[in-house]
Amino acid sequence: MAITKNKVTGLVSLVIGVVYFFATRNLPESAVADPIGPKAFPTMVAVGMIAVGLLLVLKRERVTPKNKAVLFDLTTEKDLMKDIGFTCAAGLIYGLILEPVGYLISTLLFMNAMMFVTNGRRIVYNLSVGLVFSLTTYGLFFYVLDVSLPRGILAF
Amino acid sequence: MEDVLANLLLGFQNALTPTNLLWVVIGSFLGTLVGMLPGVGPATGIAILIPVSYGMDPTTALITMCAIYYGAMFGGSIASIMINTPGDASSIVTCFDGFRMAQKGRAGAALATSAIASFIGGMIACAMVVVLAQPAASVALKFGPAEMFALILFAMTAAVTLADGKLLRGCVSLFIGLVVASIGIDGQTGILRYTMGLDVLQDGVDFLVAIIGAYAISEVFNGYAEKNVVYNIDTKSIGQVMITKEDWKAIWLPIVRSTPIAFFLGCLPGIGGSMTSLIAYTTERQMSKNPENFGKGDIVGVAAPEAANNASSTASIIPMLAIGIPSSGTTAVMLGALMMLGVQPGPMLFEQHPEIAWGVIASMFIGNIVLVIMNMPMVPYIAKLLALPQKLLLPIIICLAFMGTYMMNYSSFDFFLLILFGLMGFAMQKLDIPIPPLVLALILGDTLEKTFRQAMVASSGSLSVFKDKPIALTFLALAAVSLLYSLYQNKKSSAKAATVVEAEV
Repeated sequence: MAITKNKVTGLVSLVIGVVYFFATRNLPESAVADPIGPKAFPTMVAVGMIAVGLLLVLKRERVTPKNKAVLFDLTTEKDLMKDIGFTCAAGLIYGLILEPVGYLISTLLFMNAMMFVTNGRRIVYNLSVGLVFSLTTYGLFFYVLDVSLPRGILAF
Repeated sequence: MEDVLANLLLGFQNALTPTNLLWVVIGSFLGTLVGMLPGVGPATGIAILIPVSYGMDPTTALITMCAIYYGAMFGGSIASIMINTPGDASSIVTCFDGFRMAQKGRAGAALATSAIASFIGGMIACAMVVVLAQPAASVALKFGPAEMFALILFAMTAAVTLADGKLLRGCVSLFIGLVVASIGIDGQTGILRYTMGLDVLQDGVDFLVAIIGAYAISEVFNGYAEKNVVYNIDTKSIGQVMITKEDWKAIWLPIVRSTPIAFFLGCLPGIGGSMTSLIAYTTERQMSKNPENFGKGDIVGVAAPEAANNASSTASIIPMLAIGIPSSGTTAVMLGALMMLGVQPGPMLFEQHPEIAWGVIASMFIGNIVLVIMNMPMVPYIAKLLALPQKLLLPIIICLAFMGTYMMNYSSFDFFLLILFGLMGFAMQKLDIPIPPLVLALILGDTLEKTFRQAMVASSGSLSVFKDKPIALTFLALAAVSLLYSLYQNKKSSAKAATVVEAEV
C-alpha cells in the first residue's frame, strides 16, 4: 500500500503530540508560585502537534504516476537499510567498549566496521586506514589540543 | 563612530595574536576541505569540526569556527563548479553556470570568480557588520522577556514559513525540537520533566549531540546510497585560476549590486544563503543584456550568487552574536558550540566581553583575506581531494562525529542519542521535513519557554503583557502575518497543482 510523506509525517506528529499531551498531564504540580506552571507551555506544544498532525493526515492528495515523489517508500532500499542498521549497532558497541578498552583499540575496531560497510572485506586496506585514523586523532588531541581520551587497557 | 573604531581596533588586537592568526589559517583550510566534500555543507562541516575547538579559549574558538564557516562556504563552491555537486543549498545556484564554465574549459576562471566575488561580498558585508552589530546589540539589550519571547517566536515562524511549501512539515520539525528541548529539569520550578526515569536525561538532551546526529550522521546514512561513487577530477584542465580584464568588467557591478540586498536578507531569521543566492541570480539574469546565456556558463551567474552567498552568511553572524538568535542552521550550530564553551552570545556579549565580540568581527576580515590569498593559488591542489572515494570519506566523517560527541560530556550514553538523532535526521530527509526548524527549536526552546513564563510572572498570568509592549506586539504580528501569508501561498499553489493534475488527466 502506498502512503504519502504527508500522511506519515502527520501520523508521527499525532502520536508524539498525544503521548506528550498525556505525559504533560501527569507532571507533578509546581510547589513554587508560578502563575502558569511547568505544564502550560508543553500543553500548547502538544496541542499544536496534534493540530498539525491532523491537518497533514486529513490533507487530500491525489497520487498520480507523475508525482511519485510525494510517496513514502523505503522497501526499495534494502541494502541501504542494512548498512544503516549495521552502523547503528556498531556505534552502540563502540559506546560500550570505548571506556573499558580505550580509545585507540575501540576506534580502530569501529573504523574497521565502518570501512567494512563501505569498502567490503579488503582487510589490509581497512586496517591501515583504521590505524592511521586512530593514531593521528589520538596524537592530535592528546599532544596538540591537550584533550585526554580514555586509554583503557593500554594504560601504562 | 570613534567608539566603533576603538572597538574594532581592540578586536584586531585580539584577532591578530599569533595563536588566533594561526587558527584562522587552519580553520579556513579545514573548512575548505570539509565544505568541499560532496554532500557536506557548512552546518555539517562545523558540527564535525567542533572537537577542534575543545580546550581553546572562547575567542580563539569562535574565531576558528568563523574561519571554518567561510572556508566551508568557499569549499562548497569548488564542489559545485568541479563536480556539479553542491555541498549545501546555498551553493546550488553556483552549479548552474559554474559547472558549465568548467565544462567549457574555464574552470580556472570560474573558481577565481567564485573566490573574488566571495571576497568582495564578504568584505563589504564585514564593513556593514562593524557598523550594525553594536546598535543591534544595544536594541536587544532593552528587550524584556516579553519582547524576547516574541522575537524568538518570530524567528521560529520565519524558519518554518520560509521552508518552501513545507509549512506543516516545518511545524512538525519545530514542535519535535520543542519537545526534545523540554526534556530535563524545569529551570523555573525544579520539576523533572519527561526523563522517563533516566538519570542521564536530567540535564536534558545535549543539543549539540542532537545537531551532530541530525546533520552529520544522517548525511552519512544518505551517502551510503552512493558509497561507490568516485568523482573524476582532472586538475590539469583547471588551467590558471585567474580572470581576464573583460571578465572583471563583466562581474564587478553585479558583485557590488548583489551584496547589500543579500546582506539585509541574511540578517533576517530563517533566510539562508540558498534563497539570497537565488535572488541575486535571478535579479542579475533579469538585468543582463543577454539573459539567454545564464545557465550556459555566464560568468555573472557565478559571481552574483557567490557574492550574495557570502554577504548573507556574514550578515547572519549579527543576529547570532548580538541577539543570540541564529538565523540559519549553520549559525545555530555555531551558537550551540559557543554555549558549550561557556560563552552566551547575545546583547550582553558586547557589554561584558567586547574583546570576544569584536575579535570575531575583526577575524572575519582576516578570514576573508586569508581565504582569497590561500585558495586562489592552491585550488588546483585542493580540488584533487574531490577525487577521494566516498567509501573512505564516510567512515572518517562518522568517526569524527562519534569522537566529537564523546568528548563533549565524556559519556557513552550520548552515542545512543547520536544514533537516535542520526536516524531521525535521515527519516526527516526521506520525508522531506526541513531540519533547520528542529535545530532552532532545540537551541532556543528553553529560552522560548523561559521568557514566556517570565513575562507571565510579571503580568501575574495575563496575556495582556504582550499587548501592552509595542515591540513584542509587532513581532507577534509579524509572526502571525508570515504564517497566514504562507498558508495562503500554500493554498494557492496546491490549488494550481490540482488544476494541472486534472488537466493532465
